[in-house]
Amino acid sequence: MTRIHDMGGRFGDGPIPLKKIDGKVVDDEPVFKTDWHAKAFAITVASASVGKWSIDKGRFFRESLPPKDYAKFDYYEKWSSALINLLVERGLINKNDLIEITKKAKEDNLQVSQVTDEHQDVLKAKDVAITLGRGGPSAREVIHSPKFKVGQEVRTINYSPNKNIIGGHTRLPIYARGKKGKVILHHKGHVLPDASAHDLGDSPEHLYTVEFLSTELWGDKDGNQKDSICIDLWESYLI
Amino acid sequence: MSDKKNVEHNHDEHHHYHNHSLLPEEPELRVKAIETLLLNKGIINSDTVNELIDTYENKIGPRNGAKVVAKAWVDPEYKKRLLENATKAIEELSYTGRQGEHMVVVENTPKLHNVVVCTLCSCYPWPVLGIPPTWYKSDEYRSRTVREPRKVLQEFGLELDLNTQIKVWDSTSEMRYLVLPMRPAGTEHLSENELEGLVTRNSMIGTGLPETPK
Repeated sequence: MTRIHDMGGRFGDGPIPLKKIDGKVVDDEPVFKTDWHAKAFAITVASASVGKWSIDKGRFFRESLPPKDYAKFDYYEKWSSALINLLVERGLINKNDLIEITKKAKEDNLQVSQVTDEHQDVLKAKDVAITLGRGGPSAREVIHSPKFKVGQEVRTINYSPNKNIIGGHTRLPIYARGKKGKVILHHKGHVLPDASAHDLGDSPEHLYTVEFLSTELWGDKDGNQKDSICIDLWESYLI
Repeated sequence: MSDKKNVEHNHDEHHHYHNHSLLPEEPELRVKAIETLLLNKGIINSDTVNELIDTYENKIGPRNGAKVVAKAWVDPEYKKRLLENATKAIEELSYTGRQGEHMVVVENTPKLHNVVVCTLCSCYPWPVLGIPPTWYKSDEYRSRTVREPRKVLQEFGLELDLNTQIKVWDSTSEMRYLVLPMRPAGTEHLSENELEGLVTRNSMIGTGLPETPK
């Protein structure tokens, strides 16, 4: 089984939402379409320095929104809703805080007070450039040698690979389960999202890019018979 | 597998994914409520919020990627380094970090066209392309690109010959993919700076081509 976010290959989604003038694509969208988009983005990035969740945990909370909400929410509604759920899970915010702030919001009485005790890990404006520039590399040392070689034929497992959590996070899309492909790149060891999303440590594994012919994934189709889809997959996803 | 924790049936954990429903439904007000709460709790500060917005509105965006591409077009040694170790070669131009920690550059040729998608979320190489456009994050692009890339590219105005092979890169890990488009014909006389102006955002995702000189 899978979750609502795992939509590769799904039917029924209609045309790509592009701005066109006289049939030609016009790429002039502002970085943030509204102020609240910009705010939702920035408060999410800023909170992570206190919340200390992994990127995988952040993703898991977005994809764990109830499917009905996930489907109807705008992109940054997903971000902000997942953010508050993460903050509650981390114990940084509690349900009473949410009830109280909602009451104030509805009374049009949202006020920022003078904060005297900032959290010790709060991200400071002067550290933004260096923090972003450093990022959070996921490469890790893996002691054992890789099980697969570039050029080797492999098959993906045909169930959700998360070994620890039923319904847990994974990065093997359902459209590529139980399929045959060829290893084209080996990226050495990387944090395993299936573990990291659930605070179970890095559990690094060898990471590969596997190329699948589109005929293998979708059956016979129009197009070039060599058209392919390349997917990054961890060693435990492959047999 | 006996130690499997069942998320769905663990009452407390289950409710972690529903707390947002306690907040105002209207998205702008919801974000304002969260922001106010976080500021008052000292979890974020407003200078940082402004700095983050300014960074991605004004400093980090697709013009970075265009510089990488133009340099690769004029400097064969750089192009070699870029294709061999993209993270390092891009770092030469000081583009590093968040959402670009591990870069791979894939080169278009007359026989091969690359296009990048993230079916599971919205992975995108921020240091070179900035924040992804709305269409990249849309259900339509995420669901359709892996199954019918030719139809998707047609909607972008890109008709590919049947002899051209398409490779779709689904960004499922922390590897981030940047397409190196082909240098347009008739640009031999242009400087690196002028070439940079021809490199469009979509040409570096694979949903477009560079502009041709006017």
